[in-house]
Amino acid sequence: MLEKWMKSFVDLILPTVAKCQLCGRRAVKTAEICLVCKKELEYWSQKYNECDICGHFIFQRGLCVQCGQEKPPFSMARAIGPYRGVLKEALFNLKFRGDRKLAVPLGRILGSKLKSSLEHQRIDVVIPVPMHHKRLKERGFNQSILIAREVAKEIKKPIFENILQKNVNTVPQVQLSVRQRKSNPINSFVVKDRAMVKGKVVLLIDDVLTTGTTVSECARELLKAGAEEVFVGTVATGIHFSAAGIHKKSTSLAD
Amino acid sequence: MVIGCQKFIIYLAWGEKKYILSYSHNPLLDYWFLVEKGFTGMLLLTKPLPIGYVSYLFNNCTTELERVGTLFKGRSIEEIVALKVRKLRKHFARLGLSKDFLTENYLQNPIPKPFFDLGKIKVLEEKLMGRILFLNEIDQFIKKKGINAGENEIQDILQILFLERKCQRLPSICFEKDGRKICHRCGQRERILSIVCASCGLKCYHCEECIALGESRSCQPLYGVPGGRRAYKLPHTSITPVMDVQLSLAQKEASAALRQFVLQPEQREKLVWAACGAGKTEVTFQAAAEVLSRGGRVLFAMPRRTPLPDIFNRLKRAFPQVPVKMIHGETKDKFSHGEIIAATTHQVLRFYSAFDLIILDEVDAYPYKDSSMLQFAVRRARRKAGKIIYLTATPSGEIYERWRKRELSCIKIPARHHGYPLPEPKIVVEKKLRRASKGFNIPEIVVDLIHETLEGDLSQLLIFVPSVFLAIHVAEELNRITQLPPFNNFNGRWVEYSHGRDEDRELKRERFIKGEFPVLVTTTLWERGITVPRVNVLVLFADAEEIFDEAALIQMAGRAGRTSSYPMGKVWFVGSRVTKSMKSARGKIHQLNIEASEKGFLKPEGLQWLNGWEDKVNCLKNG
Repeated sequence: MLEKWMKSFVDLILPTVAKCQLCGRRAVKTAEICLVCKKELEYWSQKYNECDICGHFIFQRGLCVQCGQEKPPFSMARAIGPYRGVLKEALFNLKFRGDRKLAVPLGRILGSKLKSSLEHQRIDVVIPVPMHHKRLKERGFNQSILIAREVAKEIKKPIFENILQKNVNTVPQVQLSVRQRKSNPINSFVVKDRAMVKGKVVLLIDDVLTTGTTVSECARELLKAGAEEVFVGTVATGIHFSAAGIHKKSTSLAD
Repeated sequence: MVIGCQKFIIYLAWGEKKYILSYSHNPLLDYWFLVEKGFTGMLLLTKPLPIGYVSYLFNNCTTELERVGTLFKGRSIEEIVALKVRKLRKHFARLGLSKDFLTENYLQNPIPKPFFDLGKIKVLEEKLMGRILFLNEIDQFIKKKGINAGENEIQDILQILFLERKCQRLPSICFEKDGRKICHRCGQRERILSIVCASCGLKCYHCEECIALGESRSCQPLYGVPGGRRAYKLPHTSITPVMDVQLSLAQKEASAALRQFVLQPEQREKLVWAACGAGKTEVTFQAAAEVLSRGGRVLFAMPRRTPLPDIFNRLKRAFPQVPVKMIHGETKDKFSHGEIIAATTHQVLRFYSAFDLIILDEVDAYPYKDSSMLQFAVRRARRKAGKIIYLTATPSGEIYERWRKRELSCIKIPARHHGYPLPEPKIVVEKKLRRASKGFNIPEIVVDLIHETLEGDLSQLLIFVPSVFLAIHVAEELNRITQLPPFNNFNGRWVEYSHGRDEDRELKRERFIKGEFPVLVTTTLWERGITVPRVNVLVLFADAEEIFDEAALIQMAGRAGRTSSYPMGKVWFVGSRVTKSMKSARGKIHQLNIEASEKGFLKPEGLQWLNGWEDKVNCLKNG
């Protein structure tokens, strides 16, 4: 007890060195994330446009090629940035190394991004993308839930954690090719309590959106259950390299 | 994939005279093992619980004798059971567990003895020797080795090894009596957080300190198998290191001293204090060969990954007849076996009393310097009678203190192999140099120094700055400046930058060593382990004491003049004021030079150059 008091007292006089919550390096005083991370996150949204619907980073304005061909069931998806650099590192540490506290800054940044880019007033409820219970046992936690909790706090909306459930233990999308990914998660999600989502505007939270198949499948299931509209928020998203002028590197901050 | 979480049951087993308390994931297995020793009955005291809880309960409810088997001493079995249940109940309440987990379940009519592949057990034991791993790591490990075993089979085999006392079973995070927790993987108590765990469904804890190597969670068991055979007293094979270059006089002396150190039994640790670029790695080869020829294992550990491939290649060349393996964060096969292992200190966390000789390079470098976790790991990886050699160019902190108190004996190598003294840094004070985010200017004196290097000495230049942000900006600014006079014939990008999060840093390093561009601006990332044939060193903002401490400054100065083609590199510390660490860095370099000249390790032309340089240094300091 005394030790705890002493420690808090010492902390009061000599504050511990602030660390960037994303990359763990030294940050300026009380800032949440360091200057380099901040610049890197800003870099993409300054340099490139987001697709009006799926939020992929593209060179042109308007819609990306994929959304132009076939409209996804959700009305809008937004992400902090592309799956590269700091975000990739942070998500890797969160998912595969179990560094759960990383969900806090990621969720907060995502929340503030959604505040500025979505009509967040209309959202009634936040729902995370579920995980099969077997995989949950392996990993010990569902990163989408952790992120969704922070987002819900940030936009001040309730969160329903167990409404959407995954009943089929599919192969992780990461291990599949683009074509295989499209058919993989079909019919693996179930809405447990239809009355809870009926007539509501739902914000679906996931960690990464690449082809958008998982999120689309969830959205379809929610709409079937009577949800009015589905928005999507993810930490990271894809980029379309086919578009001219997109560099493959995220660290080229210099230009 | 294997679920890392494993649940255990505390049981009581008894025979005619003795009783024993223990815990197991599968008490039947223990039952059959104990029946062979004359035990007849078994009572399960709890339902399956995560190992963190079980080990706390077990340690608090049993005495040491009860864990290995003790006599009844006049008590009946019912009395003992009642006592244990009472104690367990008390501690259940302390942990906040529900009483539903308590049972009194007699094992009746046990199923027939399970069959086990003894060959597999032996193979697994051999493969795991000297490692400390989680269950899911063991699973990965043996799959790589081509052994087929399911999750349950692995658990059973490990349990058998434990019962035969060939393996240690620990909870990853252990609850201590005073309410604190300790992570057994990294030995730390500070950064342990409570988490919600879906694997075991109970309140769990994980350690943040060692999370980069995979989560250490309180419901995961750790299995440590102490390492294999012991080194013989006399050599049974003859191994002599193949040297690329002839050792210098100073090196030969140190090499002989280290060989002596390995052979004698009393001293356990030794410090080698060598000048930067004196070739301290080669010095240890003779000692390593002595250990190897006696059947021992050797570990070369260093805090950073960057110099590792270079050391690995040198080791492979020096010991062609011995298997050498390199392990760092990005190697795919982390569990490969070798007589010599070159690894980063983080990877040493997965070894368990495995090595007879540990050679620890760059002891004073980040992150080893301040990390009690890594120091703990290195100590744990050493075998009981094993030895540690610390190599450094800049002893500081704990090691230096121990040397000063004469607890640690030291071997000095003050001179480089080419016989020239270490370049002594010039201290340049420039008041205009400030670290401001806006209006950043490169002072003229720095531009002059760059010009002198590039066009006077015709050599390359390494510029060190204290932060990533500055590295980028100084490089951009210099790129602009180098296109203007006094620089001529400059076209293209001549200044590059490199820092810890630069993905191309390896590529840039190679390009710089090849001489494809003349100026590299970098952070302390490249303060160690880069050898450029013809280079001067400029430390910008050398007054940033929190980053450029004495050790860092000496290391950076040590980048210059490493090869015999250009042994007289120049070093400048540019700062707005003269700090203590700048002074003491210069002092220490000077001291080593004097020592080298006294011992006669320097060539006459080197000595002459040293005297001339001193005048110049003094002159500049006054001016």
